[in-house]
Amino acid sequence: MTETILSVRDLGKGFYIHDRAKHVPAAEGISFDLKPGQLAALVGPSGAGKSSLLKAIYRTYVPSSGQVIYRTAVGDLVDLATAPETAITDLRRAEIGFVTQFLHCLPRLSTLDVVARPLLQQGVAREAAHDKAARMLAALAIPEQLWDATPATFSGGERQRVNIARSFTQGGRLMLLDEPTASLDPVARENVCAMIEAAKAEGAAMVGIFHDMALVERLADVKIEVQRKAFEDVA
Amino acid sequence: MKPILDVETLTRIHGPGCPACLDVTGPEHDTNICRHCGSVVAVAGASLRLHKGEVLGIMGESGSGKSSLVKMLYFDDKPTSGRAIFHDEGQAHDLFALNEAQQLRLRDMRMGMVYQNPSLGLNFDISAGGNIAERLLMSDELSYRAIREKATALLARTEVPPARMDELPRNFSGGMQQRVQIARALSTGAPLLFLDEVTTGLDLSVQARILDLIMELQEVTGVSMLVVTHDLGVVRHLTTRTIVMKHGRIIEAGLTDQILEDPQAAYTQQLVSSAL
Ligand SMILES: Nc1ncnc2c1ncn2[C@@H]1O[C@H](COP(=O)(O)OP(=O)(O)OP(=O)(O)O)[C@@H](O)[C@H]1O
Ligand SMILES: [Mg+2]
Ligand SMILES: [Zn+2]
Repeated sequence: MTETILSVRDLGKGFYIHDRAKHVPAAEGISFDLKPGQLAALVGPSGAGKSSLLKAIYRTYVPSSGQVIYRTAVGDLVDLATAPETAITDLRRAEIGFVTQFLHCLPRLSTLDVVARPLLQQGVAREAAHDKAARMLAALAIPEQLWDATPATFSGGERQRVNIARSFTQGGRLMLLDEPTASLDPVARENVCAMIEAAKAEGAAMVGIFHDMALVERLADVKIEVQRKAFEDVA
Repeated sequence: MKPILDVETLTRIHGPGCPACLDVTGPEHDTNICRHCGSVVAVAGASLRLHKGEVLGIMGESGSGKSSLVKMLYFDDKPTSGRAIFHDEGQAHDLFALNEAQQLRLRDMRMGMVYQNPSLGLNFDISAGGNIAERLLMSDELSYRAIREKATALLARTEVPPARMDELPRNFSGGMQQRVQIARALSTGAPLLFLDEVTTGLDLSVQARILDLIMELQEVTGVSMLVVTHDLGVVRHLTTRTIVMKHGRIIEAGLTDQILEDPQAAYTQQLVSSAL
């Protein structure tokens, strides 16, 4: 039996807005376990706090309660909710990826370099990194003529695919996906799904948000219901 | 990650100072001026750790003490109290306990600084190439040819056209002056760099290119950097961790994305939301 890689225990996130002296709850009481190769889908209405939970796992948001126990490549158990910042930076570089729809990129880098970059930063040789980047770009049907150009001038959908190509080139033992297929056409969406399935088959664990329930049915091994918080209930 | 710089309760008070200075200044008093003695508390009790290969941002409003902090670490100014340990080549240098010659050696060879104002970091009366050569000479490089070759290579790396090497930097554009400053700061292969508002005042497109350049050089050389800025875009682009200062105090520290998207302190929330 494979060991659990991620164990989320009673995770909650709220924001305290000093200006208005107000507490805004985003999500609470979320628990689930994930094994390598499994995908957990966060499902629930808009505003239920799905993205907040994903960001709390990645530590872009500071969790307000609960634990996020992650088993590292070397077998250590780390609570991502409280681990030192340097431990989080190391894990983000080597093991934990975050995929959004948005690409922040450097105007001077070619598409191929943008996609290969995380691997280069990990110390992978240039040729190997470019090979893998090229395979990912091809799998997402980005025309080869565009690989030398900067994605800064691409269409929204092309950029999104470059971003996904980059994230999957980097890979990771745990990948967090925030609507990676939103605003893609059906062909591109199918390509991204195939990529997610391939990464799962290679043992990546994932937590994802998909606006399309058909994708949830197809990709998810675990479904986590996230309820909208009733403001009135909170003191 | 190994530390390269450990700063411990660093304090700088301008003026006579009195026993009350630290108690009556700071964010909760909304001032850095002591009402008893009139001293300015530029930095108070600042502690931080910078790791090897890390880029740490220092942000905060004008007058919060960002430059003051960095100036002390580069020996441009002396602290009132506190310590800083620079871990370099297997040694732990207690920066403010060193004698002046030792300090100058570290400053010339093992640290680099890029100022907002290029006239502080460059000698405007000698050529761009001469500015690099000057620093290489301090680092014991003696052959004229070797120095010239190295200077050419450094300027090429920061995208200063070789044809302009013999011109005075005073005649360069702001962006080009920053490139020469960066080349100069990098020239000795120092492992520690301080950047103080290096893109402030430049055109947006020039800013973007300078940031790219810094990022690229950081990746290639693995140099550790303290980056002072009040520009959230610079922080987002360049840094992995950030500290926030107000009235001389460090009021918040965290992962850069966390500081920008989930700031905890009231002041940081204001700072981030006012920039949106
Ligand atoms: N030599 C000095 N004598 C007196 N006061 C000083 C001196 N140098 C700095 N200060 C004061 O110390 C405080 C911190 O200044 P500092 O230059 O470090 O701010 P900063 O955060 O870098 O601001 P900016 O974003 O405007 O560059 C300010 O109140 C400043 O006026
Ligand atoms: Mg300053
Ligand atoms: Zn005083």
